[in-house]
Amino acid sequence: MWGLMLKDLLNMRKYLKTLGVIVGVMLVMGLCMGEASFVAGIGAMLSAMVTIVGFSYDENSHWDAYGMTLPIARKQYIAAKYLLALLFFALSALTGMGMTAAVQLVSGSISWPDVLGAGLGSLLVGPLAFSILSPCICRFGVERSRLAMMMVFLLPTGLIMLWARQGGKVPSLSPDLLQALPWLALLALLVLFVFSYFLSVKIYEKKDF
Amino acid sequence: MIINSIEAVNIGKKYQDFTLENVSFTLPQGCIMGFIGQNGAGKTTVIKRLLGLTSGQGQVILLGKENGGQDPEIKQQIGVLMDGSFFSELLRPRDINSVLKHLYRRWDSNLYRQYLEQFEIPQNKLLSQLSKGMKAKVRLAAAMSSRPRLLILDEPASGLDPVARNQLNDIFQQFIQDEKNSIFLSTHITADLEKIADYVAFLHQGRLVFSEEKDFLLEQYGLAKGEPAQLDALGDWVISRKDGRYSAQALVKDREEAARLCPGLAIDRPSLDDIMVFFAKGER
Repeated sequence: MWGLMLKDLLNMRKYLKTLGVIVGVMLVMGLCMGEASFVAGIGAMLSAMVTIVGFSYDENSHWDAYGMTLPIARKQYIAAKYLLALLFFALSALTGMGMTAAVQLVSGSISWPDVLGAGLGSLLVGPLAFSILSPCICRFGVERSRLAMMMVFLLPTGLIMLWARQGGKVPSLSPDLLQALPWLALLALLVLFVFSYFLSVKIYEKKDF
Repeated sequence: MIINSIEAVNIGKKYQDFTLENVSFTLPQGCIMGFIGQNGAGKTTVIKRLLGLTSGQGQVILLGKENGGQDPEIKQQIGVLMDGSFFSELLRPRDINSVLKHLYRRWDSNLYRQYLEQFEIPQNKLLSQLSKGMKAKVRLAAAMSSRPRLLILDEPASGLDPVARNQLNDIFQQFIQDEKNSIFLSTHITADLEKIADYVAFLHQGRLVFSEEKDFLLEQYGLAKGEPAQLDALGDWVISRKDGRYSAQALVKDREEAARLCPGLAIDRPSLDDIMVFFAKGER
């Protein structure tokens, strides 16, 4: 499985270097503006995008047919994609937290809830997007999953905007529940991620190449 | 003990506008089988059925294992070249070595480098910077460097110049010297098959027309040329014929028998190209 993950990393080599430059520029801008929330979203954005790019490179080179002749089981191909995704989620969470901490340190003092929040944002957005998109891509391919991609990013944004227009009232929750909410969300995402993996495996095992 | 590297029994696949049906053949261990047919005949579909890349009818046994194309242990012993499907062109030949050595237990990095040197492929150039022929050579090097027992190659000579094709034929014949190794290859270059193949299978419009020993085809069949009336005398010995205004040609099943029936007729040894064209286009 390491061979498959290495293949994806080598494919993304140039793309990751470009992303590194973008992250650097964003960090400099955040430091100049003294604005931590600006950089907090970077991790979330990265984790959602990078994981899908691996599928895209395979599709463009028609790798799948050849790849399935290699001595791997089809579920190993999917497992490698999901493992790499987990690595990128962790990396993007650390990136978001690191950048937030750096901006806040330069501005004055570090607010650890904000830093944790930046990390949590990455860990919520990336896995959610990947868990929904991955089975779509396995079934329909990257190009035909573009509509699903748009829905994953635009639908929550649209719903939040609609809710804000309606007054944006947050239902009152107990302090304990409020504190547990992010962790409950993470748990729900973990369940979704595992479910998504098994669904992707099932789709891929029945696929014709 | 494995005797046959490939056993295909009534394999088939239905698409909306094409049907592959009842394709059966056997590739004995230690042999080379050439798989020929027009564009769109279904050669790649057969290869995909052999490798378990598509579902369909029939039974496939690779290296003694049913549905071996879906078994990672059997795939360790199979080297594959798929026309139009390979690693991303953002990789370099040396990157492919880095990836495949983690997947194949018997991967031989030195052998891979030797093939690249033999084919004069720079290891550090991106695949996108290589010519079509050079990319084909990289695919071939990758297929062969896992020290497989069975090579399944879809158009391996596509894009290769005559010098490279000659190199390829030499490599295939070296590969076969270990009598446990076998090669199944689809190709349009029948001249190469005449040099190296032990068996030839011909696919036409989704059906297998024949699967025979190459020597039998070339020694037994004949290409008769003469006047239409002369060819009429050959009767059922004619497989198919092409009639012109003043002359005609016919593919006959038995050259010696045809010569005995029509002593004055010119009957030559056919090429595989001739056999293929007459089966595909001739009138029965």
